[in-house]
Amino acid sequence: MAEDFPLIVKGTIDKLVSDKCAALQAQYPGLLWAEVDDMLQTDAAFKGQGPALLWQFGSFVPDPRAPLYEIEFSVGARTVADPSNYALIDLVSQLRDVFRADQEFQLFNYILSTASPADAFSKGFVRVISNEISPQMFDRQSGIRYAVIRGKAVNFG
Amino acid sequence: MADLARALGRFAHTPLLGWNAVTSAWDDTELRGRLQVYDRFITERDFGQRKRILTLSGDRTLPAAYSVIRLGTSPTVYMLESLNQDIEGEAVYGTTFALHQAPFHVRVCREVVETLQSGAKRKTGAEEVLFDTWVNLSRYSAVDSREFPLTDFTIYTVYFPRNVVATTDMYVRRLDNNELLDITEVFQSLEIPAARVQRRG
Repeated sequence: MAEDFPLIVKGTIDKLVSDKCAALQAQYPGLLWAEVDDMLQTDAAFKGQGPALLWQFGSFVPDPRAPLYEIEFSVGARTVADPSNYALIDLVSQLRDVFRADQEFQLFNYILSTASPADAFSKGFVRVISNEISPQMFDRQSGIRYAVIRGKAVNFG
Repeated sequence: MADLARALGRFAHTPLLGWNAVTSAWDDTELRGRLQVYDRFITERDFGQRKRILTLSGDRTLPAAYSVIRLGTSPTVYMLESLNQDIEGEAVYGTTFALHQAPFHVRVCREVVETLQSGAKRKTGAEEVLFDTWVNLSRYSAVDSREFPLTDFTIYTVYFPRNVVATTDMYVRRLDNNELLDITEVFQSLEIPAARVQRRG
């Protein structure tokens, strides 16, 4: 259904960020991830002392009309007591590498419970057209930095 | 030493009944004590109406299985907040219990959260009932809403019986008025766990 497409996009980005978080656990033990508008998880990600991967859904507009869309979202990281911000830049680099410019990622229905069988059919794809690092934001003892991702999405409907 | 213990024991006639969660009945612990006069500022916000001192002779203590107790035929429920031994020479001749009244019967619950295939968590709307217990509630402060400037939330401190394990993903449902209290912080107060909670709504 067309009205579920933003949810499919969000679920897919959740999946890509959470998979990256799992892959980085050996290098950054206790690494968390959160979608920054998710009040369930942001407390732990923003108030904890450990590092966290972050992402935020920006805009999602028909371009020029459905089923073609232009989307924008941010991916980044937060670190605490990070000398020279090396861990911060490393985390941002590793996460933005998932969404490289001029590459595509397929969209699947990942918003099903883990108890349900996986839905193997692609619902569309996003072609990333730009991937740019933004200025660093500071929150007293911690730093946050994002990369802004822009892309064109296609809904297979 | 035996003389001191005998002197204390002479006045210790009040039976301690312990709540047995398995049988849902009050067991006679076979301990006998004596309530002492006590009146102090005893919690962060309450005057001394919620604590009592009970002395027992010898070195007997409340068995670990009991979290809440009653005294004789009184319906008042207490928690054991701390225990001090009185020692002369090498022997314990008496034990002083600090009792904390627990007038509120509550149900401790947790919202069921499922993990999606995306790795994100979602509340299912279901409630998991963990246990019922007695607690004391003490109003702590109000806190401003971060979203609505004219809204304040009421903050309480909840004192739990000593065997309770509370975590910040739980909430407390008062069984007298159905109010919901979200646990935001857990800490230790003497020998009982305490929690800062925020009233919902």
